[in-house]
Amino acid sequence: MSAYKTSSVIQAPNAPDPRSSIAKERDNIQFDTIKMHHFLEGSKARSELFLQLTQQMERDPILNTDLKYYDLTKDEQRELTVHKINRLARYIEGDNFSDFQRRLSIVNAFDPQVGTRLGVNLGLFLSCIRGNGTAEQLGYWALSKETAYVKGIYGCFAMTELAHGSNVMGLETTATFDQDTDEFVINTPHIGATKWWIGGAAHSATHTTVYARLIVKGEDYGVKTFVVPLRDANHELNPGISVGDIGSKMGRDGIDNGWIQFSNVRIPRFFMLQKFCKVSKDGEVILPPLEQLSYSALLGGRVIMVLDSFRMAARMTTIAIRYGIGRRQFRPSGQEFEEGVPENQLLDYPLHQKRLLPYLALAYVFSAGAYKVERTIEDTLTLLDDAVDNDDDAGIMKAIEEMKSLFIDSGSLKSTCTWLAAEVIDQCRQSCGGHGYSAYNGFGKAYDDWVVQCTWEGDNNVLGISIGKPIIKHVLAVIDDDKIVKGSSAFLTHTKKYIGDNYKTPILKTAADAADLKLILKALEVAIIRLSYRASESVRKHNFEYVGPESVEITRLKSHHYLLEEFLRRVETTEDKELVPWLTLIGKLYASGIILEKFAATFLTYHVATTDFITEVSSNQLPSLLQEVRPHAVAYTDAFQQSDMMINSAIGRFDGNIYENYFTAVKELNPPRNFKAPYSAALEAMLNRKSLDERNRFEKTDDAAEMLSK
Amino acid sequence: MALVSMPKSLNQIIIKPKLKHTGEPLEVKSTVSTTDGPKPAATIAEERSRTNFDIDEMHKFLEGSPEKAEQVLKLYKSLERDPILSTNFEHFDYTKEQERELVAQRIDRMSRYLETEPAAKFNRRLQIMTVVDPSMGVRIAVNLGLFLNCIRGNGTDAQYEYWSKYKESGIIKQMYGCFGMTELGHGSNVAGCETTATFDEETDTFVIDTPTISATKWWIGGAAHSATHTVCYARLIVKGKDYGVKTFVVPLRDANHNLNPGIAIGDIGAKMGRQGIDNGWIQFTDVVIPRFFMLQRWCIVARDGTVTLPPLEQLSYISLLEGRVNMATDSYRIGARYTTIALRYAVGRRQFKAKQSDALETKLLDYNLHQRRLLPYLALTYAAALGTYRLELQHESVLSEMEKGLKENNKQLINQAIVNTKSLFVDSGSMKSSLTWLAADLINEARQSCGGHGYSAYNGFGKTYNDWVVQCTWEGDNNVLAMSAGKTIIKNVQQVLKGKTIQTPTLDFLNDAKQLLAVKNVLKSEQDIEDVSKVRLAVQAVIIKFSASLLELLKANKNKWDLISPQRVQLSKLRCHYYLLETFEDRLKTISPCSELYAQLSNVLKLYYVSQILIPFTAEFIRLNVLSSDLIEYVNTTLATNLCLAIRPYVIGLTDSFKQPDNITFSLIGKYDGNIYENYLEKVKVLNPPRNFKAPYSAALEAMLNRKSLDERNRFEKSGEAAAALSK
Repeated sequence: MSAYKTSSVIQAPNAPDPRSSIAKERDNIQFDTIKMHHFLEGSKARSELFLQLTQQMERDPILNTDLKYYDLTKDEQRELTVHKINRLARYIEGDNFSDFQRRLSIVNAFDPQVGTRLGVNLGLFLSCIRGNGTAEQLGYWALSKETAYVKGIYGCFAMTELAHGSNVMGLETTATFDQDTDEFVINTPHIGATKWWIGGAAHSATHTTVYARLIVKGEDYGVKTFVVPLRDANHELNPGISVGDIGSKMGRDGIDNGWIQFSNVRIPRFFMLQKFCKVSKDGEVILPPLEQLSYSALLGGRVIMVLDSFRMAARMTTIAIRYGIGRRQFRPSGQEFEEGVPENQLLDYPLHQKRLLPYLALAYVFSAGAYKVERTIEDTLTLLDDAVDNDDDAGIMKAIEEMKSLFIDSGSLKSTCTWLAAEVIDQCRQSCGGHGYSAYNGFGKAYDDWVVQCTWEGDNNVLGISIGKPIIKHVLAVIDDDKIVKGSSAFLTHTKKYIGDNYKTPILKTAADAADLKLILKALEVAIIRLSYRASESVRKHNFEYVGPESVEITRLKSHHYLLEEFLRRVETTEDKELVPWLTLIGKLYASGIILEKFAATFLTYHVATTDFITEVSSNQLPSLLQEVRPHAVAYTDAFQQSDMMINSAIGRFDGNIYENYFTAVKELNPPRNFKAPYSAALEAMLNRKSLDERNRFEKTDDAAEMLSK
Repeated sequence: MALVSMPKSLNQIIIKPKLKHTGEPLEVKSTVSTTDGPKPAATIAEERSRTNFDIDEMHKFLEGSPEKAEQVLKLYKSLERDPILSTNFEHFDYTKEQERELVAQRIDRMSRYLETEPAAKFNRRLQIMTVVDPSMGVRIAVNLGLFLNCIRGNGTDAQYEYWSKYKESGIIKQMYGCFGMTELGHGSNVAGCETTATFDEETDTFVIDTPTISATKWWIGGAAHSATHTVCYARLIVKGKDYGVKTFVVPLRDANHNLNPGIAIGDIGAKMGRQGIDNGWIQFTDVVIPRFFMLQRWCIVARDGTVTLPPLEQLSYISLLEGRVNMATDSYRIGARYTTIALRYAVGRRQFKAKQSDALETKLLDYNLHQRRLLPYLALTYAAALGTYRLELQHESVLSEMEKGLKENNKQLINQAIVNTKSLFVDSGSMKSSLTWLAADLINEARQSCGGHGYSAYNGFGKTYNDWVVQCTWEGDNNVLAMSAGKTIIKNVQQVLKGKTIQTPTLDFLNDAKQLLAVKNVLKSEQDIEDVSKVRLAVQAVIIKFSASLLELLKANKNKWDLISPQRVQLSKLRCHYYLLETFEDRLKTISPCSELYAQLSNVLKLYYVSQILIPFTAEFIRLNVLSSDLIEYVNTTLATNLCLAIRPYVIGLTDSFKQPDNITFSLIGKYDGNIYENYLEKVKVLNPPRNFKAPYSAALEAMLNRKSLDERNRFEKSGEAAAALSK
């Protein structure tokens, strides 16, 4: 045995030194991680803004988040969330809109419940008013009443009901026009129509936008939107309003989700949002040109969720990869028993690389897609608003066309990216073994908070079906009527080239094809075309419902097509040319490690790739790409530029001092002097209980038997 | 809204609406409704009445025997009546501290059953209780399972007798054991543990020590608050020589539950799940224990420091197998619970009308996609029920064989037991890893299929998922186990190809390697896929061809096993499915082919192998020329859809057959009566009284909303007036 030595604590030699493993790899960084961050954030200016905002938050006494966060109870989380919102409200008063969006996107990465609880007010409530109300109505509620500054009133978004989620058209709350008093009567007809899951309703909201069936003179005009006050200026419930707390959830305990029942609540007629649909004093109803326009409120949320997917994937892969570098497990084979030989770094195992590095590449590709869809929605909404303001019918129709394309793109991305991000969190956690299960390493709460993204604001499966459907319809129209498809699905126009006699012609054949990202893009197009074509045959025989599973697969393929296409465009146009090889490498890893891995069966089934190609990729191409990326894993994750506060994980901190950081935190948060539990008396009473015979008053002993048997 | 309870005879009273309304009458039932609400209970009752087979028979089939089925039902009854062990929805609101206390109370309660009922019955009780309180299950298992199994596996009979019986840890009395294996810096690599046990010849003692921070025992269940003793995995050092990792019983707390000197223990704190377990860390600082606290069935240190090493050391690992076998069974029971909940919801919940003229919306489960998402998991759960029971029996038989062999010192029997143990290593490793992963997927998919309601704590999914997923990591990380199972399979195929014959009973299907390598496309036609024995042959062929192709890859890569790790994991999964498929096929033969039960089961079996084997492993089946590529699209679409449709009408009966009462399904939307919405809202109101419409922290909220204007808060220092004054 070697002698003990004193450093900060007394230890035997050969203590693990994860910090220097990471430092050593960091010393060998071969590209500029700051410039890479410019690429990831979209521009130098945005990268700098990101860093400034993060710095402001990590220094802020209320917004700063540390490991104590993971010990909070539901009630503590809710209270803290309010303090954070209050603090953010002060920033909002000075921020311009896009800075604030950026700030919120950062908060979403490390304390998503704050983002959501604020988002129901500033996002959903106000977007609903913006999307459905007139400019004056928006001005009144957002500015005169100061909602936009989280002041005066607090809005929530009452769409979902206990018995209705995805089917918004089927909601059952009623808004009946009372011509005598020029009012609407809002009512919950039965338990199934109780508004449910309403974020902010339980404690925060003073107002809500209600989705309710418009009933005028006995006629049902379908679901429209109304502003309904819930609480008065003293925060007391208004008469006819019942609100309750929905209680504990899988995650996001900081949000006060509630239920609402309306019992004949009266609101003035002008509380109806009437940009598109109007009810006049005498009960005349004017309907909107396109029903879906009123759902534009949800588009903003979908775009944010794609950006969230990027930041979450970046955060989780940073933690897992740092741990994979610092953690060692098993000595090299043949040297198992040689003292002094360090064990292998986890990330040097091919399986570990395969489990993690493709997700790193995925995060890079997410960033490109997220920024594109964000730009597109801003442009489209401006186009629509301008056209509506100018009563420009042609403009409105054009905006509606773009909106339809945006529905496909944002919906497919939202569903695919949020699913993938859930997978990233889960896989990153598993890759950290037992330590991934500790609350202080961040995965558990991140996962529990995250997964609801797959359900809310458009359930991923329902989105999958509704996006597959127009694509299949396009293909039907191309086949039957030679339709020319525009927008992001334009490639469908060439459907006939890939079916019929060419149905079995593969796109990906040789090993070199895996490195040709343009060809991979083409392969995705052909996969979408052939799968849609086969699905369209089923639709002719059965109906759209029959091809639900195929529709979801088409949606996934479409979203990867969008991501890869935009990533390639961004790489081609980047000004930092020295980054191109590094980005291309990550693009190839995305193609082989995500696309070809996940769609191997689909590519084989629809003859997009040959069996030899798939075998070659999984046995040789992918392993060698992983080897190529491996030495630069630290650089690729450092480039995300997430500070320790954002990472908020004891094993994932920048310095890589995994064990000391973790152990110190655990001791601070759970003082070892409490080695007896608060309920220790119960435990000790159990262990030190008397014998069974004695507790049975010796009634079952031989003595007793003898006496009682006489 | 006030609840209006009316006597039954007044049920039909109709109150005329006072307001001009939608024209619909207000109607009083248990509450006042303006229009008819959804009626999920009636829908579920209607589907229940379709059941055309005997669910009692089905339950017996699933549990494996009528006796076991009856025992399970009796235990369900006992647990739902027990005041401490029965479930209560308020538990979903518990904090970490409350959960830990509840678990301690339940352990106390369980110990009273332990004292008075046969071991087999208690083990079944524990297994069932684990479905609803996995923290409790584990907290008991660290003592009765890990601690005592370690002593049984590594200690002499007398040592086991002493700690288990004489010191009563076998009935959770006097002492409480924990299992000090994992360290902060070492998990899967047990042989690399750094804690030391140094023999001090002078005092005839061992000195247990934690040399560095990374050697801190970590994640030790029960250490933070419960344990009085631990079995410590530590390097045996005698006269400066390191003999590798051995096991030692080390007392942690005295009879007053105070920490012994030299022992530092702490709470590991908050976790993703299983908050009810008091996982802790332990550091030993030169803790002295008598020499006879070493477990010395295999390895003995004599008074003079002579070390006798075990001839059959691998036998000491048998004690780890029980946990794996149990986790496989847990996967079945948890699968049964969540498919029951999700399928009841899918029948009761309606979404979108197929046609505008339809009176009612379509049931969720009538959507093809919804069927394809859930029914494969129902089929998997059936297969897992049968396969995991077989694994339990296999484990029991190996243990008794070994015990008998050792007792009689019968070399032949011992050798046979060793061969069977090897088999069990592969079987339990691949079953534990594959099934715990699949169960995690199942819980997740079932939750997502219930939409937003799946996210409510009161429907069970969140807590179960969080409690569950650690099963994929502990007692053999799934990837590590699967790699090792995969490696054994490949090596066995290598042996067969060299002309040897495999003796290990559940791996002998590899003996057909040579013949099967030559066969092209075992499944050539649609009829072939209907034939379970052909499909089993196909899985056998895939495993063999896959292994053979990996042997080639190994040869090309200088035998670097690490390079083919991902494929080894795949192989292990296929091996698990082979085991399940083979069991299902055999068990089905015990049912009369003309019975309704048989018809149902053969559809379930087909759906199982199509959706869980052929579809997920399509790429392998095609690449390795086992399934004709012309068939994939048929399998993936038409066949999978048709099999789902065949099962669809009977899902309520098929889930009722698990016979889990409301106390076990423990989910507001998953109750037997199917009265989804009322059950759910009513309980949410009880647990979160609506009178609290202001939060405890409402003052902070209101102060924010009603704050003064920015100008005023800035003391008007930025106003035009100030500007004028300050700019002069």
